[in-house]
Amino acid sequence: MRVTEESRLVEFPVQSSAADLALEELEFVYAFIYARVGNRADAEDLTQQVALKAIPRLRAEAGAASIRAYLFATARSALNQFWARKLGMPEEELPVEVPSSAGGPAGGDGSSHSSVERVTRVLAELPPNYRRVLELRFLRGYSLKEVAAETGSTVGAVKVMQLRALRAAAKVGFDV
Amino acid sequence: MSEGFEKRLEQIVRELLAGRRLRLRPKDASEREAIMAAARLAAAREPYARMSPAFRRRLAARLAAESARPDGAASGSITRRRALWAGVTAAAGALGGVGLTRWGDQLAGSYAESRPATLGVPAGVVDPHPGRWFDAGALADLPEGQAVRIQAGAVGAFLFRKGDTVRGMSSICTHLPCELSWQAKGALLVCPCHNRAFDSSGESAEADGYPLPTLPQVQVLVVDGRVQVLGA
Repeated sequence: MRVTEESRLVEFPVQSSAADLALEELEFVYAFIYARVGNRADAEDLTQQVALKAIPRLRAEAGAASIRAYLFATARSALNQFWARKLGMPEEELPVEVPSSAGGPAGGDGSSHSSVERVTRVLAELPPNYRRVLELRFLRGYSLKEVAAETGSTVGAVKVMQLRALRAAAKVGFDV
Repeated sequence: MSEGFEKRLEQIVRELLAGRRLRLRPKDASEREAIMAAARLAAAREPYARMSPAFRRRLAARLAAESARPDGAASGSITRRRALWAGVTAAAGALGGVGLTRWGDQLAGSYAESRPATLGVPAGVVDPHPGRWFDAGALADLPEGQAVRIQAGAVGAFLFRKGDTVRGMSSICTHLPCELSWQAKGALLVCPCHNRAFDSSGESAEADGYPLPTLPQVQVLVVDGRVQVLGA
């Protein structure tokens, strides 16, 4: 039993430390993938793909750092293949994601920054009108019509603004 | 930069925001950066995404099925890699709530006796299927008036002892699925995502603003001085 300052965590006996480490990491792998595909169904498929590919190749005596690095390298590769397949283009032409120096997550989503921090940072760098459209549409779940009403614009104009805002967000980069 | 793509992009965004799979076409490739940015933003609505219990169970079952497959030359002998698989599937079974008889012997001693889940569980109570009772330690080790965080397989819970009885409640906030933490000062379970809090009975502890739903209770038994928690 490990006692922390604010709460105590009961740790149950484990059968295989490497196995348990890998399974604990899969929760982070899932979060990492979900943050990049934006939907549960694709995130689940890719997480399963990563687990089935990486876990049999792990050494039983592998440490946490190497298990993490291998799982996340496999996840990055699976994501690249996913986007290449979905878009019908070679992986080499996909935008390059810069991996964190640790090769895995520190905060659970692939870097020391959470997905919220990344999105907040990207939005903060956009012009106010772009930021407003993306906040309303994605973070508050407004429909195009509702965004148009809120911003005193037309649906057509918001649609164009959404495309331009997403292009601008991509240019800022989520992984810088 | 492709002109007139805004209509197609809106279709993709709408599907993403509805939680559907990405369905893309080769001609979408010209705006891949914008589409990938849309996926990032759609994901931000669930900042602390966790695998669903149903997916954990499916994953555990799939890992178990894979580990049971003969692997060529290694078949018939326990290789190091195969031994790792065994551990993975056993642990995955605990995570996913899947009974894995193949590794049953290896699990013996790791977990408390398996019992059927309670029937007729009222609303607001975590009722995992199939449930499994996890040993959370001795009652005597639980301090009074302080939350103790335990993990019963896939179920995370805080335990509160009052005399000889123990109450358990979910460790996940009822607003967004964020992990709560116990703050002894104030005796509150605090959600780090939105600075909301629950008292030791699981009730929303907001003086103003909208109250959050009460934390679901986790089933707890005290048997022969040992605390057992129903997890999956």
